[in-house]
Amino acid sequence: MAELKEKSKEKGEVIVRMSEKEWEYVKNINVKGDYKEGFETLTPKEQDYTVKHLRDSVGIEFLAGLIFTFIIMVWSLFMDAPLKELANPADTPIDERAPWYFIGLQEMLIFFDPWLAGVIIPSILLVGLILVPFIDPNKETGIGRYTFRDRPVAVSVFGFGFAMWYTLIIIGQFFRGPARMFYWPWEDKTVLKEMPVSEMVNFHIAGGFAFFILYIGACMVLPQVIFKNFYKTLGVVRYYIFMSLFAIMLLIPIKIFLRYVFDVKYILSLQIFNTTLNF
Amino acid sequence: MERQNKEEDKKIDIKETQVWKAVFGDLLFGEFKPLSPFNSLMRGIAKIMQLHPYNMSVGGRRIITYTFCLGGLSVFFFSLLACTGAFLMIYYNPDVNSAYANIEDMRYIVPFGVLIRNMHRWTAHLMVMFVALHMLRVFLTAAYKPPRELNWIVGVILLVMTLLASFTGYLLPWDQLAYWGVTIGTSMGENAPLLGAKGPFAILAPGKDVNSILVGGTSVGQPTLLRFYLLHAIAIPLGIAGLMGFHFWRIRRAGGVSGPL
Repeated sequence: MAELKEKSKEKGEVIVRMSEKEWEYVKNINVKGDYKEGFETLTPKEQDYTVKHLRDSVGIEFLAGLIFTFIIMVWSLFMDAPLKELANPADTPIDERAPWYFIGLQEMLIFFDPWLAGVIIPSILLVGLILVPFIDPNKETGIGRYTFRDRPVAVSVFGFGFAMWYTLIIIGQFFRGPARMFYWPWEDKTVLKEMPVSEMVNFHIAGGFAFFILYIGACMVLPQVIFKNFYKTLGVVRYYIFMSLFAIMLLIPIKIFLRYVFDVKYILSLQIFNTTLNF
Repeated sequence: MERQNKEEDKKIDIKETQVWKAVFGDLLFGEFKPLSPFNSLMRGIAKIMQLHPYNMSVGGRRIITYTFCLGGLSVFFFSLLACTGAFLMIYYNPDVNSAYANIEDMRYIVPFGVLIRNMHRWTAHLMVMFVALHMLRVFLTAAYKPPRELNWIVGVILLVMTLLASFTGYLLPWDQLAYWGVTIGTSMGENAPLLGAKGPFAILAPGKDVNSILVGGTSVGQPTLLRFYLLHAIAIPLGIAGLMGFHFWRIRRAGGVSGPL
């Protein structure tokens, strides 16, 4: 570990403590002051021991580019891009599917109405992503290194969302056959499965309201009571924004669970004017 | 006195908030020293050309590991896509009557056409994957923290634009896969609340809603193909390229990809 040990202000000298191995690497390469700058350097002043990054790294990057060009060329030689028959608006294929990166949305279409699955939930996810730097109360920890211990909440929440998104994509891509039915990998996807006989039920409207009020209340209050420290570090505004985004994210697996275990079609079905809102 | 002080404390200076600093901090109130126009122009060019710092501190050099290559590889895939895409544009005509035949020509007649088309397709998949993985890397190494918040937001926009670029390209072969994939995708817009014709509280008629801006009618057809072609070949790549330039400039301005370099 090279670390700043001491700095004398008068001379502008910096003493850096480093292991012998690092010193071997550094001493023959570059100590600031021995080279002429081509451009204005943006290196922070404390860190005076520098290596010629441009020379060292661009070669590696060029190599990475070459390797990937090679991989893509070989891949393209042996595997053709898919092309089916000419588009025919009159002939809906039984297994119509979105491109793989949107198949998570298509997967959610099974559990939610299109306006939720295709518009509202992705928009909220995007807003949540954009808000990430402003929600995170910790402005310094863990910059530049992989660490779970120093910021467990941030990493686990983001990791959960990322994993959920890709689980949905993998299920939608590899475990869905004709008519979006679930198929295990060893089942024949050309055979159309029978629709399940059991009928889906809705929650009673009072039950639906009770569920949402309890759920949102639990999401908002419980962490505040149990993890008091967490609430304090976040602050009121950040806490409520974070918890509402988190509650919405968690609602996706909850709905999937309710659908598969209890055959619940909608938790809450509201009739407002002429429009039915299903959640 | 005390009360006065407290009131002064309560006043929030908007220029001191994190959002203001993230968006305008470096742009308007950065540490730019007054320079002659020529010098500032030269320095600007030098900064644009300098994607990497000339020198890097030992500590900064150490944090650069393999996963820090993901963003760079996304750029590489983007340039590869631009090259192969330009080649494909020579043989492609965005017309429902000839698009499919053009693709078949590429497969069977045009020299190396099949190779270039395959490369374009697979590289697009790789780019979508790598952009997402790059985002994961940025999150896990906390590279969104100040002063890099704006760059994180630009990155999220770039991710969306990458998805859109890939999605608009999906329609161009005009085969069954493309047609129905895009039909599913665009039907989401139809179901938008208020602005979609089939969504809750719809206020716009079919053919005049938000979906029809994208599709150019009520269903996927010739207008859709032309719109997607223009988006795919001109608008989105230009947008991505411009935002990428901004993205890189901000990285250098912040002093490195993650920690100080």
